[in-house]
Amino acid sequence: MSEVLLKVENLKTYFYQASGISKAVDGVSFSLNRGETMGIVGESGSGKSVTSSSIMRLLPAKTGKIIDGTILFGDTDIRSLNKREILSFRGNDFAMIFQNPMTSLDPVFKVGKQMTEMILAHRKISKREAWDIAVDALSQVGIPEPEKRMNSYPHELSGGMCQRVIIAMAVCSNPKLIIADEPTTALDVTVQAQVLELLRELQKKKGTSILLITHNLGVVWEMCDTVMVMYAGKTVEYAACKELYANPLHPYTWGLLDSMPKLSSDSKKELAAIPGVPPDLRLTGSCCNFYNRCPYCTDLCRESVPPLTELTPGHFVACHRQSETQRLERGGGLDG
Amino acid sequence: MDERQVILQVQDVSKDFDIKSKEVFGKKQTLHALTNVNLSVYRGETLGIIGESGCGKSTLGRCMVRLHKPTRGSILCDGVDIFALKGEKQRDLCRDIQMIFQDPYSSLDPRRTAAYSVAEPLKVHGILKNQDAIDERVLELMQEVGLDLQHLSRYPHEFSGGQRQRINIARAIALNPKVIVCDEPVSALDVSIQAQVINLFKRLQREHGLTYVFISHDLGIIKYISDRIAIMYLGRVVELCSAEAIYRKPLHPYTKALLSAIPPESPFDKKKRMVLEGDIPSPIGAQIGCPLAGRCPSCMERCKQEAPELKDRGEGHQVACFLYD
Repeated sequence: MSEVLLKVENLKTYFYQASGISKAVDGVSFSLNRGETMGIVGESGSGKSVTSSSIMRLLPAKTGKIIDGTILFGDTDIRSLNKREILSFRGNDFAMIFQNPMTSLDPVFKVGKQMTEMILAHRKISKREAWDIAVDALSQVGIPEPEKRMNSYPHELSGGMCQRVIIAMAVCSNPKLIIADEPTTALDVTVQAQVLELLRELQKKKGTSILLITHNLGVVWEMCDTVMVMYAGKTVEYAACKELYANPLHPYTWGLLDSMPKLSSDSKKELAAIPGVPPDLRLTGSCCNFYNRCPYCTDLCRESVPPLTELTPGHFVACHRQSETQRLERGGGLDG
Repeated sequence: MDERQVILQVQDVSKDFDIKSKEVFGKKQTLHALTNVNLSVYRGETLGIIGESGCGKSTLGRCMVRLHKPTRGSILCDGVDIFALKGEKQRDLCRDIQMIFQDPYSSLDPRRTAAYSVAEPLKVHGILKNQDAIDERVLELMQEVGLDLQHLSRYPHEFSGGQRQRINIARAIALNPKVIVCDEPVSALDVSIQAQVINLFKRLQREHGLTYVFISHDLGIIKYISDRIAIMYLGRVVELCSAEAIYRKPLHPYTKALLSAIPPESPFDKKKRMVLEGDIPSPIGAQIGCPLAGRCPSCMERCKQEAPELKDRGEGHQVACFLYD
């Protein structure tokens, strides 16, 4: 099962705005195997969503441009595809689930109409057949009375139900890759648990790969095989999920892990917050982006960009203080 | 916390909203946002209120600061009914109970500078008359929440989410309130910024002896910041206990489900799920029986007929469930 489905190397996507060039994605590399789930975590503005839109080629045409890097989907170079070719990829080979379920459905059309329209756009079948496929997809995602729901408008469904409809739309063409951009952020915890469970079941049944974008590390622990941590447009750490939890290497990852209050710990001591705020993406590029918030920062960090290196097999990190010859201990050399 | 002095008492509060029917001559319907809520908030503590969207936690918070008037029941602050006051006294009371809202972007006037927004409550309540004194106090407040002289003359759009929430906090503490109702104050912020703001809340509480009513849907944060936690479901408090007890010994089936629905804390932690079927029922129309009856795995005949009351099961652990009768 270790066949690589998606390989992204040194992806750079910049936005050309009146106020300057915003380096939204500035060096992202990862690979995703068939049937596996990869998580992308990071704060808002770290480039998670731009990475996924770059893969889908959904960037705003006027301002956003992929300026460097390769995106390989199987053997196909996504960057070299023309408009028509990419259209047949989207929806057939990869599908996308967006954050807000209420706004990703058109409020003026019935669910059934939207689903059949999507199916008919990709397959040469009759309306009747498309309708049947849609009903089947709805029942697969656990929507009770799917025939009746086909005639509902999105506002008649709850948030969790809407997200199920979106997932049904995503899976009814049997895509190889599903990109889920914060699929459960807008949902309550109990509904989130249902939706995640559903995604996992569908993945088991169909062998789909999932690229899961989230800011919730808990969701990553639950769903993912590998995880990539992003900060200010860059991959700062990339490893198997368990490896990242057991041996995190980048100081930003440490900060991220420490700043979440844990349910199981009874301690009431101060949370280890990361001081400061993320940098302006127009000004990054010549140094380690994390240097001004990093307690382990050295002169080298201010002067050059740390490369993403594989320290142990499968564990990549971009930090000057972590290399084959020297290792930094979490909390080492700091007072308190 | 030996004295355990009650500062805010919510007595049997219910809040109904009338909603128009979709049909032109249809009957008016009632949305039961809160049903018979009883709570006491003690001086100097943090009471966490947790629940899913639509459970009435924000309505309860808004009732506490008099943004909503309860349909039935009363809320006492230091023994005085906050809805019975008029004029001068009512305004004095406003000073004692302040609120911080969820969205730091929409709760600041975009056309006013940070300094103006923080100074406004001081002027409205006539605490400081002299402009120099106001300026001095505003700077002091800003420094207290980790902002600086340079931030005073900026407008809200020039601040990040975390900074805006700091301005909101400065504004809330400007009047030296006794109680601050915080309605999801950190859920719009990123994790690393969230931790900074939570630490700020903690520090201010230590230094000023503040009492918080902290509303959130994130159990990790609630457990970290609260002394006691109230769990709400469909307009009712279903469980109320100390912060540790909720994790160690949850009693109500809904609390158990809520805990098991939270994503794990490590990839090695595989938990057994107790997934509740279906969605939250509608709060519109007559409410009969236990609110969880339709989804509860241990639902009994009795649960469908009458609603359980919140009862003490020892050590101040209150739960509203017939399983423990």
